Parts: sequence; structure tokens; C-alpha cells
Amino acid sequence: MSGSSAFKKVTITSLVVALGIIYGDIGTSPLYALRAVIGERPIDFELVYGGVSCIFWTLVFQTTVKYIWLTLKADNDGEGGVFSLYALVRRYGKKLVIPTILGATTLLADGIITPPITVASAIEGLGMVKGFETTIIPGEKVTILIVLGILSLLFFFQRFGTQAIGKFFGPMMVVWFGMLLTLGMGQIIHYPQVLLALSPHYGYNLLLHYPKGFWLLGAVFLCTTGAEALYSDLGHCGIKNIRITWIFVKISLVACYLGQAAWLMQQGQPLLAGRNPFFEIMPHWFLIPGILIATSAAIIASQALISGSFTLISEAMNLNFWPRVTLRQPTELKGQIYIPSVNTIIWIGCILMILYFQTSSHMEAAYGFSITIAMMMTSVLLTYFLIYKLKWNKYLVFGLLLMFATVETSFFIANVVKLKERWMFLFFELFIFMTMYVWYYARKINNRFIKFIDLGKFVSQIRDLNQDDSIPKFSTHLIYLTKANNRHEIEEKIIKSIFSKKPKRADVYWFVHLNRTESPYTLNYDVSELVENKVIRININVGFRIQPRTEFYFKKIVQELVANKELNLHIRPDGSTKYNPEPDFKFVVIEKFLSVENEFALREGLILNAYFFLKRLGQSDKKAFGLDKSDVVIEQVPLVYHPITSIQLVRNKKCS
Amino acid sequence: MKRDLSEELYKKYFRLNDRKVEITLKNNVVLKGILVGFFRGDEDAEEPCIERWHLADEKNEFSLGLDAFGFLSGTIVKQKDIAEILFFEDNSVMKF
Repeated sequence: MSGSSAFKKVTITSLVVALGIIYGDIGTSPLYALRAVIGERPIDFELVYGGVSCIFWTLVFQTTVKYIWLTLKADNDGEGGVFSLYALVRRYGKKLVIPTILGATTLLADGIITPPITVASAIEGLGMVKGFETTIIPGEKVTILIVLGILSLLFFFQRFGTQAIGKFFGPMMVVWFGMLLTLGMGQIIHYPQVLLALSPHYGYNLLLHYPKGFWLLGAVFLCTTGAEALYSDLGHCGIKNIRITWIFVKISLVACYLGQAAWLMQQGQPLLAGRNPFFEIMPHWFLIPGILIATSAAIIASQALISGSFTLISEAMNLNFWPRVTLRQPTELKGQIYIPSVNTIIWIGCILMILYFQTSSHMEAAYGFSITIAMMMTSVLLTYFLIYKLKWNKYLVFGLLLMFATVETSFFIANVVKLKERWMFLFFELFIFMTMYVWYYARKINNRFIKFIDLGKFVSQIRDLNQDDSIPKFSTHLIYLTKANNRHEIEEKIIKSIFSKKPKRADVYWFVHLNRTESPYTLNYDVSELVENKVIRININVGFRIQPRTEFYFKKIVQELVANKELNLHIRPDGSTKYNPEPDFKFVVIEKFLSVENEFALREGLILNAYFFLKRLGQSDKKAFGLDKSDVVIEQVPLVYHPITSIQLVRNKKCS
Repeated sequence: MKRDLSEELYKKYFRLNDRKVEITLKNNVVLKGILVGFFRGDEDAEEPCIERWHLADEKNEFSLGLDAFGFLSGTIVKQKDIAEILFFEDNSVMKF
């Protein structure tokens, strides 16, 4: 079942829900985008009209054409986002893993600024309210403490899920966009000629003729930073709901930007001097409710970012890009997850952002650089999708790619200057990138050294062991997790585990294979009996959006087999069945450690050492496979990749 | 699409009853024994389905190709180094 099926139908409710989930980030950009374009420059016709024109055409090309029209087509069984797109196209490009990792890294990294910049922008507006002028000053202690407090509470409450308050997000965003539209229209009515700013030639003039005009693209880009997140949230609402609501959202956004421009043209002062046009277009009597609505919208935008990060990391784990970490489902709501470690990392990141930048205007100078990279990487993956999946004409696709590449490269170049403001992000980005890179490639190396053998060769030995009463029974049902795709093969280490040292006699030997599918919500299985009632293999196909619960699935399958009379549950080894009829299951988890008996090339050595270090920080294999409750035996096996071969061990002659 | 001969070898080999083979490597070295295991290749690196084979003496059919002390017995043969394989069961030859 698709995760989005509940919202595929277009209803008033589904449209309101879409507003609450999808548009938090892009919808709160009017709080700071046009202010960033004006900055400390003299307010004049060329800058204001050019700035609004650029914002409008960015929303047309980058948001509407690229994301709303084109990228949303790339839904993987209803799901969107860089990993879903990668799962769709990975078979067509061997090197697509790098743009995928880069896209996910940069999306996560810049996402850390979204909560501080939106909440700070909203709170700083309080400085305009009578009585708060001397208390709420951007960058001052009280303002910083309020922003820190709001964000800390938001992160603290993540563990309880958003089921209770989530239902208010949609209506709240309806109010927010209604407010943007009303405030904007209120100004446009007084200065209707501002509508001419929608003409592209004002934008063109700004970029080409205004002094250092091209570099203003870095600020213009802030109006579309949420577009990538919009695609990631596709699965929550469905394409139709997003496309329909976008009409309302875009009209509201454009009206708000035009309203701010109209105010700028009429306000009569040469410089902004710390004022925010967004709050300036509010009537004074509306300031407090307006700021409250803005703060709520900022919190909803931050929530969307946090939930998006949990989803991204969860997908990364399931596609083997991220170490297994603890993941919880705080509510019964499908798809809602909470990852404590990610919550802590983002919370600390947000706190550091606020303490370092202090004001929202300083954050504007750093925001957006990474998102341009995320967008470029999506364009690369999208090209493969359009050519190989949708079978579009190559020339048409390359034409579109060229257009987006021009737009995105321009934004990227204009955003490069932000590097000096955001150098500290590079460490964070490097950490995420290296974690994904190491995890992905170490598993590749690991897989290259897994030796498979023909299971058929050992079936008679397993049968003999099963019937050998001289060996004490290890368990009634012995279960191994196998990576072998083919039912006739098995890892050598599993056969070794059964036969070496004290052979493990059992009534039934199970080999369970978890197959992560490219489709997000697959959950089915097949069973093959290699020896009737003795050696059974189960293949469980699990979509990459589903958390694997091996033990739960296994017991359900066994229950079904017993109910269908396909399996005899057998008695417990110690004859205790009469006291406890529950079948005796024992899982054997084989954990690997890096043997000292290896000789590596530099790259392999670094990757594998980093991998085993990360593995220690992450979840144990037992928990990762969802084997919390059962009787689990952990066996440690050394991983020998390249055995040391050059040892010259010489026996000394005995001295007489 | 390019034929993956390692996959063809895999399919043929594990259907045989007599698994004794004679492998001629591209450097003309001739090896005899049975294939007791294999290592899968990395598709992303454009490697064949089976990248390496473990060839062991036929006496060691059930020993996993390891001696009593866990040291590897036999030879690891890379798929790309194989020139041809003679299957003793039907005297057929597969060339690479």
C-alpha cells in the first residue's frame, strides 16, 4: 500500500493537510527573502522592482516548473525525496550514489538554519510592538533566549510525536497564507503599478546592470529554499493536493512580495535601517496577532524540517547509507518517526546557529548555499528518471537540464560568497557526507568478502545433525539471517556457525533473508522448504520506508504456516512444552569485527576502520534486526579481507 | 546488454552432480578441483555477478575449503583470469 493513499483523493481536508505539511519552509520565506535582497543598499526603483521580478521568476522556474510540474512526477510509489528518486534510477547509473549522498548531505546541512532563521525572523518582529522596542532587539540577549527557548521546546516535544498538534498545522497555514494574501493586497491596492514588477526585464536589468547585481541572486534564492523539502514531503499528501494548493500558496506569496515592494516604494526613507518590510506592511493594531501567526508558521516550518530530517535518515538507514540508530514511533500515525540521535544533533546545530549568528539577517547571509547543491543533485537524478523511466526524448530532457543547470549554477555561484559566513557548516557537511560515504562503501567492501557456498551440499549434513541424539539439542527452532539472494546458497560463516566447535542441533533450521525493495511500502514474503519441516528459507521483501521488525515478521509467518498446517511446531528441547506451549525460537546473530590479520590498501583500510568505529556508535545488530524480545545468541566472527601473506615465520634450530 | 559469463558458469556448475572441474587460467596455469564457494561482484563497479571462485581439492568438499586450523586451503580464482573450464561430468568446455 502506498503511504500516501489516504491523501490521494482531493478533498478540502486533504488540501488543508497539504498546506500544513508541505509549505512550511517555502511559505515562511517572505519573512526574510525580500529584506535580504534590499539589505543595506539604497532603496530605489531598480532594486525593488528587479528584486521582486527575480523572486517571481525564481518561483516560476525553480519552484513551479522544476519542482511542482517536473520533479513531482518522479514519485516512487507515492514517495518523493532524494533517496526515493535514487531508488528509482540507481540501476541506470553506476555512479549515482555520489550525487545522492551529496544531495542528502546538503539538504540536511542547510536544514539546520531553517528553524533558527524562521523563528528568529518572527520573534524579531516583536520589536515593532509598543513596549517591546527596547526589549526585543535583534541579536540582544532576550531575543536570543526567546528563540532558544522556543526551539528547545520544539525539539523536546519531538519524542511525543505531533499527532495531537499536527491537526492544527493545516488550518494554521491557511490562516498564514490568508494573512500573506491580505497584507499583500492591502499594499498593492495603494500602489497598483507595483504589478509591473512581474515583468522579467526588471529582473534582467537588476542582474546585468545594477552594481554587483548578479550577487543578489544569493538573496533571491531564499524565496525557493523550501522547494527541495517540498519534494521530500510528496508522500504525505500526494501530487494532486500539492499542485492544487500551490496555486493558492503561490498567489499568496507573490501578493506578499509585491505588497512588501509596494510599501518599499512608498515608505520614503533611503535605507531599510533594520526594518523588516514583512512586518512593516502590517497595520499597527495587527502586529501582535500577526507576529503570533508568523511564529506559529515558523514553528510549523521548523517541525516540517525536523520531521523531514527523521524521514531522510530513516531512508538512509534502510538504503544502507547511514549506521543503524535507535528509531521510535511516538504515535500510531503511519510514517511518524522519531530518531533521538538526529533530534539531538539538529537541536545542538540550531542552538549553535543562533549563538553564532545571533540575528536572522546574519543567518540570511549563510543560508542557501547547500540547498543549491541539493537542487543540482536532484537535477542529475531527475535527468536519469526522465530519460530512462519516463522515456522522454533525450534532446528535450537535455534542453530542460540545460535550463535548470543555468539557473542553478547561477544561484550556486551567487551563493558561493556565503561560504565565508558558513565555513563552520563545512565540518558538519563533511561529517554527514563521510558517514554516508563510509557506510555505503564499507558495506560494499564487506559484501565483496562474503563467501557464499552451495547450501544443497550441506543439507544432508544438517539432516544428520538434526537426527544425532548424541549431541544435545541447541534449540527447537534455530534462525539465521542470510544475505544470500538465491535460496540454494548460504554464507559460509552460517554453515561454520552450525557445525564448528559445538554443533548446533535443532529441529528446524530457518534461513531468513530480508530483501530491501526499491518500492517504499512493499511487505510480502515467500517460503521454500529445502528439507521438509527441517530446513526452511524465508524471503521477506521489505520496502525502504518500512522499519524491519524481523522477529515480528518471522513469528507472524510461522503462525501462518502452522495455521495452514504446513509446519509442525515441535516440542521444546527440555520437555517443558506442557508448562509452556510457546515455541522455542533462537536467533543467531553473527557480528563481525575487523581482524588484525589484514593487509589493506590505504583507502580500504581507512573506510573499514571508520566503518567499524561508526558501527560501535550505532545500534547493535540484534536491535537493528528488531530482535529485542527473542532468545538471541550473538557470535563474533573476525573479518579477514586480505590475509597477511608475507610473514616469514622461521623455526629456530635448537641450541645444543 | 553484455552477457555475464560468470552467471552462466554459476547456473551450469551448481546443476552438476560431478562438480570436478579443470580450470585453465589466462596465464596457462591449469588447476583441478571443485568450486566450494564464491564471492559476488559489485554491480556498481561493473564487476561480474561472481567475481571470485574458491577452488579446493575434491577431498575437501565438505570442509568449506579451510584446513583444521582455519587456514584457507585451495586457491581463490578471479573470474576475469579464467580462460576456460572443463567439466568432467559431461566433458564440456566453457570458454571465457
